[in-house]
Amino acid sequence: MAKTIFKRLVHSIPILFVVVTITFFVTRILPSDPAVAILGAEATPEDLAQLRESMGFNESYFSQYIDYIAGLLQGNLGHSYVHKQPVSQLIANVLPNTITLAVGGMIIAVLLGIPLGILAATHRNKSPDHAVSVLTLCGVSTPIFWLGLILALIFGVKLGWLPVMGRGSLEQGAWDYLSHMILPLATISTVPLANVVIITRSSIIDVVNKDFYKTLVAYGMPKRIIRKHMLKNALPAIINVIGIQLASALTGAILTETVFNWPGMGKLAADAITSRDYTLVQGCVLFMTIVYVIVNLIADIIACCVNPQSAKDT
Amino acid sequence: MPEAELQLNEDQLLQYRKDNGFWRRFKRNKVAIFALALLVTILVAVIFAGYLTPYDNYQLDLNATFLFPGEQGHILGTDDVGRDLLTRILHGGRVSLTVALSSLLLGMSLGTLLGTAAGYMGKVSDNLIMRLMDGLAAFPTILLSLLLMTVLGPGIANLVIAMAVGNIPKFARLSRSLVCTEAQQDYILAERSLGASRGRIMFQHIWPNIFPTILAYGALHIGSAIIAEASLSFLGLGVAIPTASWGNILKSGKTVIETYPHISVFSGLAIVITAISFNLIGNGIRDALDKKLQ
Repeated sequence: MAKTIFKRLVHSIPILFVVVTITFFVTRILPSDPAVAILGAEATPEDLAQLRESMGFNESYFSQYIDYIAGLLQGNLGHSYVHKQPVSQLIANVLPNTITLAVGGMIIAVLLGIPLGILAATHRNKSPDHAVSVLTLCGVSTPIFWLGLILALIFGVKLGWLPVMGRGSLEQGAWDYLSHMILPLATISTVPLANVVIITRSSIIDVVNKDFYKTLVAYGMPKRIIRKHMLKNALPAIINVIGIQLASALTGAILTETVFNWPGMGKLAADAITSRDYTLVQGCVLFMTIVYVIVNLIADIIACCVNPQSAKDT
Repeated sequence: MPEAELQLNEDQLLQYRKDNGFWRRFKRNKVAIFALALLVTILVAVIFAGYLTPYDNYQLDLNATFLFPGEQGHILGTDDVGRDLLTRILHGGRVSLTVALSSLLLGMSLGTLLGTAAGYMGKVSDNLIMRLMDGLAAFPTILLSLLLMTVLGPGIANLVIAMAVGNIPKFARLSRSLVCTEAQQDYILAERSLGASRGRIMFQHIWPNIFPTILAYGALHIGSAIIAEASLSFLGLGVAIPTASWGNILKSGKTVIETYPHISVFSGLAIVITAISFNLIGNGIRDALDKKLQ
């Protein structure tokens, strides 16, 4: 198993390398002048030339690339010209908010999704299964920002039960803090919920159809043991999907955060788009992609610990 | 079902194949048929958008701003500058569906070409292409599109490219694995021993066999492509106003949603209904092809 984990770790290094390289070349080589992007179209040629010199844009791509990677290794994601702060500092300020939202959403998705998936799998082609499949279909077919707006409209504006904007503070009491979280959490958890249900259902159906499982049932094993075997074999696939969904929730928070004005990383990136602060956008994208790769890697490793057999299948 | 086929004579076999052809099996899926009918209606409405409503897509009417549905003959009401919302949504559907479908087709073509090359041109190109695909797939799709849009600049063609790139690795991985499996079949070995060239084997034998699966996989992704376009437009890096798209109509309604919710509600509903029908049809196609696709 240690070998498998080591293999996964080694495998993710070229991925990160390719990610960094793509980000670098996409932002340097394609025909947009970063100096113009920073100073605006009205800047004089002298100003542009001076900025290019000070930013190192006149050096060869190769030496820029080396500088870029050296900077990344020190945690330098660039400098935001709108905020006049390092991108890494800006991200560090809002990261906890995004993590709260994404992890909270995932907890909801897992706590509801796994039981619903089991329910659907054990009542295959009966009404609970159909009801669950309608729910998952709606879950994957609804743009979450629209769902967020509708929820805000119903519960925030029409009924007036819940606040729809921003983040609560603990100083104003626990209810203020929690009530600000209900709608964003409900919104961000829909897509992961649908996906957790789908994978739980299909992997349990897979296990139930396997010969070893039928043998266990035929031998009249106690329900407890059967359930243990079922979960142990279904879990790796489910954990993989949870990993992917958590990573997507962390990165996809951009939509939920924009709708609810939630001061997280996605909101930071979305505001950066509006103010054309492209270093910040690119820094955020790169950071979130690295997070995405690492979260998936951790999920792989956990799945491998739960059932070492699963590592051999993939 | 090879056992069933073995016990039949030739006429019965033909009849069996006819009864169990793709379309026959698809037709048995009542939900998918319903979704198909719904989708055809939507497509017809969107294609003939210009003839269905008496209003112009861009015509401002400052005496009729923010009308609610049904007021002054505007079935779905009007927007902030008095344009008929139904007209905007129908025209916006044209743009949204065009962007979604063309980005998917572009990603599918490039991905299939790369995947085929990886699966059939030797180890070096395989490793090179697939490691690049791993890297691309590591980008969360929406972020990759955002990154590309910041660099490419606004515009519908750029949007299509930015969205297509995210689709390339999915199709590359699928087509590579399909090509590898297909290339091990006996009939390919027979072709090769008869002296058929690589190109001939690839394009005349392998491609026709893997294409249905790739198309079915593509059909499963149309719904998310529509949502992706809407998301990018909603974030302000998709289709730029005044061109209507479902995403940017929804965005324009966001600021006034408390007082005039109809703008965002109806444009969002258009997305949801279309995405649901595409997803149901995609599921139907997948089941009818009887192929394992995730």
